[in-house]
Amino acid sequence: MIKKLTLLTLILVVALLSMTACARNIVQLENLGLVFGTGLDKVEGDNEIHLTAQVIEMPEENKNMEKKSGQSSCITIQSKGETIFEAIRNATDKCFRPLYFSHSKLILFNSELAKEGIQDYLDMFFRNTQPRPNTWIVICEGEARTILDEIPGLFIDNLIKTKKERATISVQNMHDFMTRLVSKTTAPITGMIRLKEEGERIDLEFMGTAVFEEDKLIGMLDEKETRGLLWVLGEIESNTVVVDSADQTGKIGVEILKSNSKIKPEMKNGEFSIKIDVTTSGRVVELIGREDITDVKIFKALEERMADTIKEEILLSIKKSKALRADTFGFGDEINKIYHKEFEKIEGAWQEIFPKTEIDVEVEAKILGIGTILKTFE
Amino acid sequence: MEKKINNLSSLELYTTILIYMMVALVYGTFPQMTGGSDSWIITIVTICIGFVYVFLYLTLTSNFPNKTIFEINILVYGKYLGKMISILYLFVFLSLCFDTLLWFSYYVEGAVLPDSPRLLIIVLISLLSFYTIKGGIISLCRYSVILAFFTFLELIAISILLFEDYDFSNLLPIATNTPLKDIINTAILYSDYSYGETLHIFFMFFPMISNISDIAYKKKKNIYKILILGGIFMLIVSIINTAVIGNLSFMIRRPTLYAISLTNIRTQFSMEVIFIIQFIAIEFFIITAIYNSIIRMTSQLLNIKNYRLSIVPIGIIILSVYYFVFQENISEVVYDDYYNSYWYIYFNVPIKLGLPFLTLMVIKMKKILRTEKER
Repeated sequence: MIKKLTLLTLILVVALLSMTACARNIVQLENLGLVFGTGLDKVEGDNEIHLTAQVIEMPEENKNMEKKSGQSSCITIQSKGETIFEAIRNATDKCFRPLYFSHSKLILFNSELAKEGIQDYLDMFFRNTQPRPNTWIVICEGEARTILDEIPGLFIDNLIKTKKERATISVQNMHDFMTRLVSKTTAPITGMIRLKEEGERIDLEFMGTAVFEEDKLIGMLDEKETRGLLWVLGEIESNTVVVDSADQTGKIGVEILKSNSKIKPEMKNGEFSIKIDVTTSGRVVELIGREDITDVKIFKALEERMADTIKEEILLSIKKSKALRADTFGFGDEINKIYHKEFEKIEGAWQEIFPKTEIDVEVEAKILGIGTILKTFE
Repeated sequence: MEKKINNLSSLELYTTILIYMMVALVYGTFPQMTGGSDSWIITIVTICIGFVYVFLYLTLTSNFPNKTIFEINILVYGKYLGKMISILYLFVFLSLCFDTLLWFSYYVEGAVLPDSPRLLIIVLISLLSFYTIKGGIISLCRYSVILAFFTFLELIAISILLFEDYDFSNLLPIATNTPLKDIINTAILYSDYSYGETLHIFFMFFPMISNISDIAYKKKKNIYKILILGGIFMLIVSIINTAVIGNLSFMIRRPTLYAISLTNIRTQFSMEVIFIIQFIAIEFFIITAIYNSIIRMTSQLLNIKNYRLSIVPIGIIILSVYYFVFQENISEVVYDDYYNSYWYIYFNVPIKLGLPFLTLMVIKMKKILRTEKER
């Protein structure tokens, strides 16, 4: 019994001393450089990667060392290196704390760098265990460094989450972006931001959706086109559609309660076509004007106008994607899933075929409720 | 001679076998990396091949209840040839041992303990395994019941937490991405890691159980039912991983862990840590079963009556070889390539599948000859 207890105690002592890694390398929370945002920039005439890490500030931090990020408790550290990992090591020397990426909320890529391709820079974030696959990837106009100097990463993360719930942006996380990048036909997309200065006030503005050809930034979808894209991708859960009244003098706000989308590839005489079916339901939340929406005929017409408004957004999005020759909707992958053998033959030429592909859009909109009052006040 | 385990319950035996299929939760890399959207097809082929493994092991051992594979070899092939064949089995046990230890150390180091010395992790789990073997392997059976229950619970938890991330269209197109040859090769490899490793249970563990005939050989149907249950478990893991990871399956080394890291509750409650604890618990079971086979086989080969005496020397030899030959000298990529492309296909699988089949043939022929002589 004593022997067993001795052995057990010995194992426990060895485990306690070593498994926490304290024996070799003491890592306390305050000694870690918790990164909330990472920025990558390209500087003309310099082949090295310029990294900006937004790190949580510790009370004893030397405040003169680096610039403070906005009014937050974060500081930004700049460094450069031939690889991202080298740049991180160099940043650690400046910060006196090892950078820790498990809580990093986003990776910001400067648009100039994104135009040259970002795949090589993503490898480090996927290969190592600290960065998480649900870290946002965002493209920025202007220097990523400037944005992280002004806006805290946590704020951008919260803003992205709120805007995604309202379906006004299409920011992708590392996993989703990489899934598109690995696809042979689907174009990667993600959100694009910039700083907006109004007098002394500095705001963050979401410009729309950055569209890539392979890993190179080639263009952008504006807010309406982004919404069109999100309707097709079935990513609209909560949003408001503003519909003109029948006489064009008023506006009716419809809150989307539910939406669904189906992409149906079809093949006729060796040519592919796409049918998009979007079904959505909502309720009237606002009425500006004197329209009597309790009248069944007017009510039905309102549903039709709502469907037309959504269809218009989708068509705008398709038009822009075709102009960019970028299959942002993933039609190629959908065709591949059903007509694999036939699609395999044209997969390589999909970029040329996609702009010529016939796309039919059907939208069915239903209004389920009109709120707590019948007619508007007169 | 060592003490036998009395009255092992059916549940304890079944969960002991089931654990080997539940390992799919961590070993699910093979079908994902080769098959992508077709990984579920590879898993189904794996289950079919797995049945061949278990059929061979069950049929062979049911002819000689309460005899280890060493004793069966002596009886069937004679003293010298029997010992030679047993040495081949010992090599398979050793190769499995080093492979499991390496895989375990890479996984733990990569996922949770990057700064802890790998050797120390291995030494600690080995000490625990040796202690379990010394105390009597029955504790492993009792442990398997709890382990199987929690592994099953974990699968349910993962399935629910990943609900929002499922995209079942990732399973399409069906049977187009992977050539048939690759499907079969991967299925052989995968079945060897799951069903093939049950040889530790059938060959070195069953003989220790005194009521084995009542709970296993007379109820063979139940064993096959357990295999089907394990197969369903493997299939669910494969489908979940494909539905969540999609076309990135080909790139990800630890698919289930990666899928878990996508769950939305990550910030509040780190599911990965729970998964790693479960992983260590399963690996402890597997490593202990392998050590048990090596220690018992070596003791019988060297005619050591009390197997407990050989635990410490064999343990030291295994850990020394692991450290000096494998951990310090062979890189992960080279090892994986060599082991999975050559060693497994040309050594492990032929011995694990071929030798039991050959032994069964010899037994059959001997029986026929004996019957003819009697006539």
